Amino acid sequence: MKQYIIRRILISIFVLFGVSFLLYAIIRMMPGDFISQVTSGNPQITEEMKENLRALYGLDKGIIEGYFSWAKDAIRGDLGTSFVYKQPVTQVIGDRMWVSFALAGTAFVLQLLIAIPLGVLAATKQYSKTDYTIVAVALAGISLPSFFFAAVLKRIFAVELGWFPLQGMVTARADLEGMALFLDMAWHFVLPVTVFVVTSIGGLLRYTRTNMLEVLNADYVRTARAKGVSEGKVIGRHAFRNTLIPIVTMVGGSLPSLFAGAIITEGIFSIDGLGQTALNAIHNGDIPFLMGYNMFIAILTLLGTLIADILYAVVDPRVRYN
Amino acid sequence: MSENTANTKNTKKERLKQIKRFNAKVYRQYTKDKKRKIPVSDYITEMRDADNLLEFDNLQAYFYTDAGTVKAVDGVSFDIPKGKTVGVVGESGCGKSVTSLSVMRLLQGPQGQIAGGQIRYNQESMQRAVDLTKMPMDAMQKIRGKEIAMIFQEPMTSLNPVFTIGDQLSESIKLHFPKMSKQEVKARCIEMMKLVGIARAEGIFDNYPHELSGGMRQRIVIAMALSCDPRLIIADEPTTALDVTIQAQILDLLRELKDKINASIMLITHDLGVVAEMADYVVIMYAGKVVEQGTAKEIFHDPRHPYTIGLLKSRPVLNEDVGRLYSIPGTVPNPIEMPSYCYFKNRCEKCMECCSGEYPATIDVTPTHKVNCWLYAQPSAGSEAGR
Repeated sequence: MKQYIIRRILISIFVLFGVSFLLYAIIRMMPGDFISQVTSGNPQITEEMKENLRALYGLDKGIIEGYFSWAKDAIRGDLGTSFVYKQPVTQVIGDRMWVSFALAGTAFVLQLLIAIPLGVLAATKQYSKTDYTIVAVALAGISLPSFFFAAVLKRIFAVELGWFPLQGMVTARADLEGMALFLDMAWHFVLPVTVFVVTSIGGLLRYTRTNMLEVLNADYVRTARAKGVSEGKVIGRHAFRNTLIPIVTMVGGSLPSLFAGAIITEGIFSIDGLGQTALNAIHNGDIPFLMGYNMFIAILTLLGTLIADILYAVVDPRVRYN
Repeated sequence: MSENTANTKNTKKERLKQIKRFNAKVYRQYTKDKKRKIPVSDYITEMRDADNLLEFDNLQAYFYTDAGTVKAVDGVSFDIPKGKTVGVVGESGCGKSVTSLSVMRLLQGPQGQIAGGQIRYNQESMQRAVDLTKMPMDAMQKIRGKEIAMIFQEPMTSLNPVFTIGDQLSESIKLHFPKMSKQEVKARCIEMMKLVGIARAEGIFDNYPHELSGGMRQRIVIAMALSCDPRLIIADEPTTALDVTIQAQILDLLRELKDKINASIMLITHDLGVVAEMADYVVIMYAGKVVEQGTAKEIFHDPRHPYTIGLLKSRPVLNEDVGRLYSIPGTVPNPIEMPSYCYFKNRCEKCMECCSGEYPATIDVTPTHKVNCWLYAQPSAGSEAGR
């Protein structure tokens, strides 16, 4: 197991090099760099001044040369300074990561807590009204586009009923601290979290239901029943442990989405998370930030699959890595 | 012409719709019945013969599928006497397994249901006779595994892959003997594993099913079934998935164990050799019905039903020069639209005119030997056509 993990990490390093080079090349090839963005519409800036600025920002070098100078610093842990925010990239990511994580993490936990029990319930009561209702709601959730659902929620709960704030993370000009600040943020997060949960719950729910149905028809479940095990224990112990196997892999793989931020939902609710920041960076050609952000996601993705593999071995005794 | 095909299409659609509506009704009733509280008086019954452990009385088990109702078991009646082995024989799909699953109430609902009849069980532990088909699930769970245990035919999939052998073996012991201490349970598991001929019992206790071979797993399944000293062991093709040498070992083992704990065995198989070796009584099933039953001697030496005769003819015999093995012509009728006449009529070599009439009644050849065939309907015809 230990050997397997070490080997996986070593392979990951090579993958990261490839990924970072491809990303750098693609980002550099985007039309309109940072300099032309900030100087556009200003007639007093001459071509010469622009060239000087490009040299200052390191944009005068070619793709290969530029990549190696980026990589040299990146290996030492220096991801450079964001063009837009004038702060170290690690700091920009570090500040906003937790906002995105608070949002996505809460939604994720809720999603697991709702989807898995409902999926199991629907499977055990197959062909009943409960089953049909749960599946219909799950399908409706999958089919709802998040921007539309968010707009509907805002219209009903923020504009008409006035229960929740329209957007933002904290009440403006209210100088709150401690518990009061936390509650205020939680109040602001209700609608975005609802959007997250409702639109993403269906996939996991249906996945759980399908797996549970398959497991409930398995021979070993019949064996358990034949032993005189009660129906609750048959489902909760024998069947559920086997349903967990595919679910765990799916859950482990969703690690990057917890931190990466959600561009649309964060944008609609004006939440200053990574998703919105990244979108802003693309508009402005903020190469150091985009590189840092993408590498962050790449590392999380590799880590996520590694964790999924490890969890797989934990829940399924048949899987052993040598 | 085109109108005609459209018409048949429509009626077909109409029929499927009807089936769907009917099934929905049956499913609803099933869920309703499941919730109902069943009083003890509803399932207490009387045994017809106190020496019997289990009596099937006109058992009907149906599957309500989208294509129609499949009468997998349709009016099966036979007895399992105490301490005896009853072999249930028939080709694939004749309802053998469904009969055994009905005893355990393990039919996969709401599609599979017991539609009628009784399975009377002589519950000596409580000095009463019960009808298993009407028993509530919580009472059933006390019988399952403890008084009636089942050995399944698929050793590769019958064990849960995520629990250790020890976990799965001790589960039923813990469940049915809650007063036993942890050490006692483990000791009992090891004892059972040794009993079924597993040499390295302590080591295997902590293994997972995938680490064992098929034969070993089948032994574990048998050990699991026997661990609570059941009164009845239902062995559903216990040797089908095994190679011949292991088969013989497992059968010897079953017979030995049966004598040791004085249980009855319901042995389900399509292997006549196994039946000849093991069974005291034989029940021949065909297309969901019992066509002939009797003691092993009667069935093997004096078979009456043409199907039984065909079965016996179609098995290989040593030291005999046969060019080609006999096979019964034709196939089993479509289970959804069973004819009203004898199900075997179209394949039968001795088919007569009256065979197109209603389904033949049960005829007693001897007090133990029963057959459902028109050949034996009149006592005079019986003696002529017997051979």
